[in-house]
Parts: sequence; structure tokens; C-alpha cells
Amino acid sequence: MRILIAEDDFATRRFLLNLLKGYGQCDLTVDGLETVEAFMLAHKENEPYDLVCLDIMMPKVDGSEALRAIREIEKDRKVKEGVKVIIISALDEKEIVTDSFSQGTVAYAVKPLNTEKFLSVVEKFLY
Amino acid sequence: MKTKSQDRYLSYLEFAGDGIIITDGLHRIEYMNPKAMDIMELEETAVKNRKLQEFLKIHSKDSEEIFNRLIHQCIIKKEPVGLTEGTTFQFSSGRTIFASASISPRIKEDQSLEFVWVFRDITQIVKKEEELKEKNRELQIYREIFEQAQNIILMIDMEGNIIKANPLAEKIYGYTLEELLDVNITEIHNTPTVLESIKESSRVHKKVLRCTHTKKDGSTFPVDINTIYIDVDNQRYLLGVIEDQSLREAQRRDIVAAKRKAEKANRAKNEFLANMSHEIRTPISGIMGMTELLLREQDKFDQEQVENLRIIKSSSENLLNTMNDVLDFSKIEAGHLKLEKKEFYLSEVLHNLEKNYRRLAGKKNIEFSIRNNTDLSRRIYGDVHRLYQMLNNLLTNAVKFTEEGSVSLLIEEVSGNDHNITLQFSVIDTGRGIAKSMVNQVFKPFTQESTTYNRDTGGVGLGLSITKKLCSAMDGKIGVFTEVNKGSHFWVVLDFETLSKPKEEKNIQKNYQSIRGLEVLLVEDFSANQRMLRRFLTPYDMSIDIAENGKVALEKYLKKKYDIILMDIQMPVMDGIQATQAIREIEKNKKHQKTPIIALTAHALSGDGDHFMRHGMDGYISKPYRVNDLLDTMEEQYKISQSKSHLMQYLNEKEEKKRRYQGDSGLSEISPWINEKLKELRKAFNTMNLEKIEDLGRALKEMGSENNHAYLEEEAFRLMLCIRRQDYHQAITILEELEEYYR
Repeated sequence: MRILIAEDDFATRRFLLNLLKGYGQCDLTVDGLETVEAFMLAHKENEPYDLVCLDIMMPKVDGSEALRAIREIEKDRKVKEGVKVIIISALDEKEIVTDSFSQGTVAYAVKPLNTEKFLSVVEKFLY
Repeated sequence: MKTKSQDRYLSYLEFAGDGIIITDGLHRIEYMNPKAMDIMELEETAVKNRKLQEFLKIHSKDSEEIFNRLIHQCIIKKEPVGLTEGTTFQFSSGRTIFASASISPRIKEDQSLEFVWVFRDITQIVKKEEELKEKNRELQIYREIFEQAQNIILMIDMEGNIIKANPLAEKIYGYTLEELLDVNITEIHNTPTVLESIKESSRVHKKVLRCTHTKKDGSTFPVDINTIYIDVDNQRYLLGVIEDQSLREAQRRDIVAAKRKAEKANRAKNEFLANMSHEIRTPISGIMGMTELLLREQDKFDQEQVENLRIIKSSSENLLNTMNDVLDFSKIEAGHLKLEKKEFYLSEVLHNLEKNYRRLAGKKNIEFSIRNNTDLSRRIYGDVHRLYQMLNNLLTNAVKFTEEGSVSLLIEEVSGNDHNITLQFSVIDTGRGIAKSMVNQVFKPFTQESTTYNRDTGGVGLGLSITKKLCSAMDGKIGVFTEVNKGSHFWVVLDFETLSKPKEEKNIQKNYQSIRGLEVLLVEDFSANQRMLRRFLTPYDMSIDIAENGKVALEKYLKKKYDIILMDIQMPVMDGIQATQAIREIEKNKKHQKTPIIALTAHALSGDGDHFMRHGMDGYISKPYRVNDLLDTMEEQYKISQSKSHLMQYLNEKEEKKRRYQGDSGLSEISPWINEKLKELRKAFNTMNLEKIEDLGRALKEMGSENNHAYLEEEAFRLMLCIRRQDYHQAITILEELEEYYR
């Protein structure tokens, strides 16, 4: 299992890494551009990610734009089933939710994470 | 006895143009000439020796009878007396005239007195005079209007020469009146066609907005002009009323500037609130997450440490809740509360509340129940998020302040019809209740019943005041019945719309700003459908080209860049799928940016969508389409295509460059620098200076990116990812490979 954690806040990144490292190999990226690059790299290696945890407010390229790019890359590569994505946001803004869901995202979590719920979604996605 | 000469004079009098009457001293008529009889409408036979007063009444201007007064004056002065202006003669026939007259006293040879009246009917003259006066007064008014007008008034002839101008024109244009009369309109209104448009004379009133006029000193100012053609003495003129807009323009600018400023401030406030929320939540979530991680490894700590961790966790939770409340409250206070209505079922709301509060109440060993007396199958339209917030606040409080017994939520229908429903939500607890003296306070911000409560119940006391504000924002009512130590009953009454049909209003409100004015290619063979789609889209200012089959579409596509293509599937000559594939082929070959293509299809089976997507279409919409579905799809696809153009364009260009620079051209120039960095990297690895490794990795990655050196960029990135996931073994392997490669 490969998991990509995209989060610019150090503490949250550590937290997610510790939470998720038991589930598979976790890569960490700190901005939207890196996230898309990592995503492309994984496809190039033919080892795409099984799960992307995506923070919305990130520098350079924000999470929703990164997600759009990810979906685009998948379309270009004719990927049948897009990668599972959990959008993580500190803002409980509904607009982001609808926008993200319209792009095939499958879950949405608000910071601070409810660990139990979050892990149950992760497990549902991975298994 | 009449003498001969007397006879002669009398015969003169007979022909006189004025009325002449001679009376004796007692005003008995001795003689009356024909003119007098004519004016007085009398017969000669009837008047002889009768008193003049029988036939004549004289009124002054103010209607006083003045016959005797005149005679009196006559006698005293012993000379002829005239009439003052406005005096009227009223005759026995009823006729009244304005008269001019003289009454002369004469002492006859026998020393007796006689009076000679000479009078003339001047009614016509007086009337004319009055008319003239009236006219003059009107002229005076028009002149005043013209001179005092707060707009410039110009009258020009068909050659554009100024014929008349009001004082304001002098003042504003800076010419004297004489100068103005030498000025041609072209010097003031300098558009090239002004004279031609003047000559296109018609009586129609015209308004010309936002022109520029030139003053004598050459400066210009904005004006609005109203014109109309007038005819004076068969000569045609143009009358222009010119409004100086510079002041208004300045005011408008001020208003716009003020509005902008206010909007900016408002935006800043919004951003501040959003940022605050983000900036505070992020570190709190860090604290909570880390604490959580430690708590997951409880067995590593002793009991006291675990307890301390729990306190950290609950404190940060409280902090977060407080912060949420404060932010929410400030948002409401700042007027940023927007209701977002959507449709929902009450059953969902109740289900979620039940799940949550059964658990929370269970923790405190109190009962929780929901009693519903309403029809749950009804679809309700309202702000469900805010409803949750209100009920959550009330229920959280109820659970918080109840130590034993129960908390229940009761939903009742107060009234309702096909379109509206009024619901009462009651939260009833068996908690400590609220003292009478405090009941009025509970909905005010930052108050809890007693400050001592803060210690064991927590919170800043914003919950109820937020609930109240939300309630009034939703035009609802809120209240409480309570008794100390018995419990509280908080109630909220809210109106909702109910829906019988799918709600479209929500979509109608959308204005689809982002897709206004798009260039659309509509590929559709049915003219009825063409017309319908055109009608759908023209309100959004889209320009629509129509192709009746795929082949025509392809030709049009090659000639013009469209923002979006709507493609019917089944068409003669070339169908939609073939056309799409052809377009995608062209885009690929020419490296054009992708144009979003939306399939319009009659056969909408699940799975069809995938079929279209596989053939290069971006979205699809099935017939019969609702206009909002169509617009939603268009908006979505257009947005996606736009966003692609930033990030994806960047990434694609980069890929492209990398491909082009395949090989190691230019490598020799940068390889000493790379080797230097690799050495530093090795050193950093030896001391496990992770920060340094990250920095060096990033520097190498960027160097690779700038020089289109894919190998370096990717390997450095891989190395960074390894370090971040603490896979040091793999990281060293990559470092070794890099060292080998650049040796």
C-alpha cells in the first residue's frame, strides 16, 4: 500500500504519518506542486498511490487545484478507478466540500481529526 | 333757439367719431350725437330731457360708482375732468365698456350750467394692453427660467452656430455671451459627426449620454445632453439642454471608491476570520493529534502521565470549541451569517442527532429520547446546517447541565400547508434549571447563569446567544421555561418551505457568472433542439455557433477556438463520437489546449457516461435536459478546463522540455556544482542532519528542474520523500546512485 500525505503543517504531517504508517508506505509532501509531482512520479514507477490525504490550504498550489490535476493525470493515463482521496481541511467550508466531491473525491475530514472516524474511512478505502 | 352757427356745429357733432352728450346742470340730456347713441345702444326719442344717470353708471377700477364724484370735481375745478385708467361705463342696455372720456363744465350765456361729455370706447385697446402685459409677464418667466437654469441651454442653427446661450453657458464654457454667439458647436462638442447629426432633423427628443465638451481654455468635462428641434419663424433650430456631469461624475467616483473600500474591508474581515480559524485550528489539531498518538500507546506511561495526557486532550478540545463559538459569534456579529438553503429530510437530522446524543447522554448515565409528531416524509427546504447548529447548542447544554434523569427532543408541527411548515423543536431536560432572575440573561453573550458554573461546565457561554441570533436570522422564535432543580424546556419555532417537486429555485438563483460570454459550438442536427439550446444559453451572453453534423463541427473547430463544445451523439454524416475523437487527435498533434466537449445524448443508461468519457468527452448530459443541469455541467467542465490551463499546462510544458532535453546536454556546466552538493549531502547523512538533507535535496531537485535534467530532479525528489518517511536505507541507496552517476 502506498499512501501520500500532503500537508504543510509540520505537526499535522507528523501526526498523520504516525497514524498511517502502519497501513503502508507513507510519502510526505509539503505543498500542492510537490503533491502532484509525487503523484506523477508514482505513476511513472508504476506504483501509484492507494490513498492521498490532501490538505486544502497549502502553499504554491492549493489542495483543490492539486486534486483537479490528479484527476486530470488519471484521465490522461486512462486510469479506470481514480485514487481514493481524503480531503483534510481546517475550514468547515461547504463550498470546498461540494467542489471536491464533484471530482470523485471520496471522503472529507475536518481538522482536528476525529481519529476513530478518520481511521475507519482509511480502512474502508484500503481494504 | 338755435342760431345758425349753432346748427353748423351741431351738424359737425353729428359726424364726430367720439360719443358726445350735452346735459344741463341737472344732467338732463339736451343733446346726444349718433355715435354716443350707438355706443350706448339708445334711440334718440327715448333720451331727451331724461337724466344721464338713468343710462350711465361709471365705475372706477375698483368698482366704485363715481358719477357724482366726477361731476363734483368738474364743478370745483371749473375745467374738464378726465377718467383714470380702468374706468368703465355701464349702460342701461347692460353693455359695459372701458372708456376714455372728458367731462367739461360750461357756463351758458344765461349763466346756467351745462356739461359736455366726450367719450370713446377703448375696450379693444385695454384688452390688447392687458394681453400684451400678460405676454410680457410670460416672457419674463421664460427669461428667468432660461437665465436661472442649472443646466446649460444652447440654441443652435442648422449650421451649428450658437444663436442663444444662457448665463450658465458663459460661466461653464468660459466664453462671454458675445463670444459664444461667434462660436460654432463643433468647437464645444467635437465629435466628427456632430454637424451631420444636427442636420438629421426630426422632432424626436434625443438624449446623448456621456459626451465630452470643451471649454474656452481647452479643458474638457463630461456632459449628458437632451436635444429637441424647434421651429421659429419657419427656421429650424436645435435646442440643447446640457448637464454638466463633472460633479456627478466626481460623486459617482467617490461612491464607487467608498464602495470598493468597504468591500475591501469586508473582504479583509472575512479573510481574517477564515485565516484566524485556519491558523488556530491547525496548531490545536497538532496538539490534539500528538496527544492522541501518545494515548494510543498508553501502556508505555504510568497512570498519572496518562491522566495528564487526557487533560491536555480535553483542554485542547475545549479550546477548540470555544474558538469555534467565538469565531461563529463574530461572524454573526459582523453580519457574515449567510443562510444556505437546501432541501433535506427531517428524518436525517433526527437520526444524526439521536446517534450523537444517545452516546453523550449514555456517558453521563442519563436517558436521551426523541419524540416526533410530524410527517418525516416531507421534503423541507432550509438551512439545515444552521438548524443542526441550533439544536446541537441546545442539546449540548441540556446534557451538560443534567446530572440525572433525561434529556429529550420533541418536534411538533405548529402549522403547515402545501408550501410552508412551522415546526417547534423543544429540548427538555431534568437538569438544574435556571434561576428566575437569570432567565432573561441566558440568551445574552458571555453569560452563564453563575460564574461558578464555568469551572465544572466549561464554555464561554456563547452557545445560547449564537442560537438566538441564528434563530432570528431564520425569522424564528426562541424561548425557555425553567424551574430551578426541576429542569429546563428550551423551545425554538421555525418556518420552513416544503417541497413537493424537485427544488429548482436553488439553481435559478445561480447566475453562472463564470460561464457568461463563452464561445460555444453547438453540434446538433435537429433544428428544434438548436433553437431550444440557443434559448437556454443566450441569456448568459454566450455566442453560439451551430454545426449540423460532426463534419461541419470539425471545420468550424479548425477555424475558431471555442471555450466549450456541446456535441450531439447521433448525427448524420459524422456522429458525435467520431467528431470528438477527430478533435482530440488534432489537439494532440498540434499540442492545442483541450476544449471541453459535453455530450448531448438521448440514450442515458448508467454506464453511458463512461462510454463517452472513454471516447474523449469530458461530460455528458442526457435529454431531455433541464437548463440548470446543462449550465451546471458546462460550468463544471469549463472550470476544469480553465484550471488545467494553469497547473497542467505548467506540468505538461515541463514534461515536454524534459523530453526535449533528454540526454545530458549542458550537464558538464552544472556537474561540479552537483558534486559539491552531493558531498555536502554525504556529510549531512553522516551526522543525520535531516534538515540539511531536506534543504540539499530540494536544492538538487530545483537545479534539475531548472536545467530540464529529469534524472537529477526525480532522484533528488525521491531522496527527499525517503528521508521524510524515515526510510534512511533507501535514501542512502539513492545518494550512492547519484554519486555514481555524477562521478
